[in-house]
Amino acid sequence: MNTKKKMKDPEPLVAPGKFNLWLLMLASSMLFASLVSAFIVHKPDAQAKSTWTAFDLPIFFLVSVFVAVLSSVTIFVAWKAAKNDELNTNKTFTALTLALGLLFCVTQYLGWKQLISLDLTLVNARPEDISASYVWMITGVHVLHVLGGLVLLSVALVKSFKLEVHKKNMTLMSITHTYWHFVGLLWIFLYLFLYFAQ
Amino acid sequence: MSTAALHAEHEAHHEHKESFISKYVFSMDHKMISKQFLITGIIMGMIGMIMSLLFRLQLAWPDDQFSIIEMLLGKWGVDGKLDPNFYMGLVTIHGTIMVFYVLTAGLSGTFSNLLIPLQVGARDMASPFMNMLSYWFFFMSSVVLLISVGVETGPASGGWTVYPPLSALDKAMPGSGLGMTLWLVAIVLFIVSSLLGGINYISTVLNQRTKGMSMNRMPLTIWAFFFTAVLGLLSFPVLLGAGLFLIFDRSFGTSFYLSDIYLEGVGALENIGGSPVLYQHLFWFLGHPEVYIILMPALGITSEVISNNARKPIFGYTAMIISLLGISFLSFIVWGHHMFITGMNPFLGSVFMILTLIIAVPSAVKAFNYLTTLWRGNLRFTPAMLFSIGLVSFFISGGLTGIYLGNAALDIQMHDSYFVVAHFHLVMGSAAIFGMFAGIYHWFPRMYGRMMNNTLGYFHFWITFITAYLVFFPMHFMGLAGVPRRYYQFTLVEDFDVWVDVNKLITVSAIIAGFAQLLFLYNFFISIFRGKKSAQNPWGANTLEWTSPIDVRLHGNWPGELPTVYRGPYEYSRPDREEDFFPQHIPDESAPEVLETEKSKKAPAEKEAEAETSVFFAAVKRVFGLG
Ligand code: HEM
Ligand SMILES: [Cu+2]
Repeated sequence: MNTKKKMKDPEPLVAPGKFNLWLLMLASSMLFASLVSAFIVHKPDAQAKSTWTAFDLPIFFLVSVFVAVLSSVTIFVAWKAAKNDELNTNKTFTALTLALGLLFCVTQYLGWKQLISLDLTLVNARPEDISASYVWMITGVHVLHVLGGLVLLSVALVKSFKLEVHKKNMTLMSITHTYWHFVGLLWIFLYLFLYFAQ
Repeated sequence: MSTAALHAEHEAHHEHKESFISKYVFSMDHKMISKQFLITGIIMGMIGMIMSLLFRLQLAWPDDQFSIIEMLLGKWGVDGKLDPNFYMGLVTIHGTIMVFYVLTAGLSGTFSNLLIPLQVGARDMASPFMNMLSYWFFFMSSVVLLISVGVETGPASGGWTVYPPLSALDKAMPGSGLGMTLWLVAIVLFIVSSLLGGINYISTVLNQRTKGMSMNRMPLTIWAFFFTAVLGLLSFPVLLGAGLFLIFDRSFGTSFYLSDIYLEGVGALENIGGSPVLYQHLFWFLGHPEVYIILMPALGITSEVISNNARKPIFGYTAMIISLLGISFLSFIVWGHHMFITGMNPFLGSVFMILTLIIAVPSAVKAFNYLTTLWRGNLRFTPAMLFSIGLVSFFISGGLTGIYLGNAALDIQMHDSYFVVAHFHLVMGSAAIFGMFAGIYHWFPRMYGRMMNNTLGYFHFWITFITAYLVFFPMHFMGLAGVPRRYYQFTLVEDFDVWVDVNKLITVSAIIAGFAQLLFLYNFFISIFRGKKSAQNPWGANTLEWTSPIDVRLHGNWPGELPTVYRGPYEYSRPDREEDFFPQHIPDESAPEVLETEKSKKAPAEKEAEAETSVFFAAVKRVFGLG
């Protein structure tokens, strides 16, 4: 039996879903920390044996950075609109963010194609190209995070069309908002890291 | 509230019935999930123990034949002799099961789930759904691991640390094939389970405490589970990263961990350029915190049980928390002590050595505080109390050898010897298992509303305690004499032949220990159905879990309002009280509750804090009690 509905318990200060999201983001930061540290530990080791190719990152990865920044702006507008009960703006900008999210995936894909055209694949015949394997792993795991964000955005979009996103029902929108900033920032960090650490 | 009144409440709530599935299988009630973790953990523990008995037989009587080995293992035990490859597989799976499945999921999963909501005064976990998923990922992971034992080429057999290249090349040894793949699948599922669980534990502790339950009134169990969950949240993702690289090396042809390797005289790899030591760094970044993930819940349980059964406040409540914090922090920066012999720069080795030795300080604080809590207490020797005292004993005797191993110069000799096996079985294995038993004996009435049998408990304790020392203590001497770990047959090496009698003593003791666990199993399962009905608060404890009705299943934990907390959890034997305990939820008539009035004054300010942007800071303030 469930006594929960029968009485009013004091509300927790932070919505449990949101709190859990912060912790999840912390965990996934640690995952990226491990991938990045592996890179940092591996590189000097390989350089000592002069088996480390340095190469320029595909230009499309830079385009991704701009897309990420832009989509962070749109999701912010969407979230703000929902908070002020401007439901139409919310719908438009949620949809816009979703579109930019898809565009992000496309630019990533184009970036990967550029890498392939340079013969820098995940699996490489030459030991020097291990540097490229890292780029593939890191971008790959990041795109998985973006896909998670796209799922959230789609759900939020459907809900906002059903008029279920508004001032009094913000949990989903805030979660989407926070998470989308997170994957965007993550990409900016990863891009800068790969750019300077190569 | 009297039990009769609770019963009345209970009747009133009987409107909606749960199906068998939602009640026992996909339950979202933390109390049921805790039982699921416990029973699964006990089953895995039995399997892990039987495995160790099988390979102990091999070590003690390498030339004899045992029909039981052929009966159980089939083609791996032809003529009653254990196959060498399967020996390695058993050692590996034994380690994996004990470390992850019993002492991580079985221990944290059971007691964090049971006690966090009940002791902080919450209706359930932050997300009961994630909590349910956490158990089912754990269950799937267990099933995959057990299946891996039965595959044609045998289970993973490169040790529980699965170092590459043994784990990365599927031709390296039979167990490196399908068995290793399944091991990785199982561990990935396990990591998901741990993260789902850990996120809930942290968020419930920080965000869902009842009125008056400030951080400095939390029982030490909760503190320990909290730090444990934080360690898991920060370190398991790193293991996931390590595992990802390994999976790609195994299955997709990358070479993060692989460098020039020859198998049977030919270059085995097209892809080189990787670094096997990189894996060790990533693995031990999880691996060392992991040993504290195992130990800290047991330490928390011990604090609670010892204070309760000594009828004294725990000695140094704050010191206990600070030492847990210190251990947690240090555990992230000492992983190099597992890698002294990887050719690391000796300077780096010294840094890791010094940091490692500093852990001795908070550990000693804890040991000291346990002893001073016991000192001149009105000790009640319940089975739970005995197991807690047993934990203190193992923690001291096993921790001392950590100081030897932590010295780089000594560890270069002792690494990968039986000395290490002795060390970690005492400090981590035995200590944590004893903490787990203490928890089971102590909270069994809260889980099942019945008592376990004391006499059987005493037999269980004394036999296990004595045999654990008989099994693990002699291993120190073997290790000092140079006997290496993970060897199949010592009689083949002339120098180690002298140890055969010691090995027999160890194996006989281990078998006796195994029988003692049957006493426990019998006691546990019989008491679920036939045990003496427990009183509402059988141990005269102060904490909130004993205020929630123990004789009815109640999803939501308290029939009425959530209890309010007025004081810390360890106010035993206060001179101004007739009773020798003072539960946290009883208001203090003489001194009006300060915190409550302050809280009600603060209420409007808190409302404002709800504004989206300041929620985070409000949470931080609340966590640190500044609000
Ligand atoms: C208190 C809880 C502790 C637990 C649960 C624990 C657990 C473990 C485990 C599982 C190993 C196995 C390594 C392997 O598989 O090779 C180990 C090794 C080691 N422990 Fe501990 N330990 C604890 C305390 C300490 C302390 C207090 C120290 C030092 C002051 C220490 C120093 C070491 C060192 C240096 C090794 C590496 C030995 C080697 O690989 O040769 N440990 N410990
Ligand atoms: Cu360690």
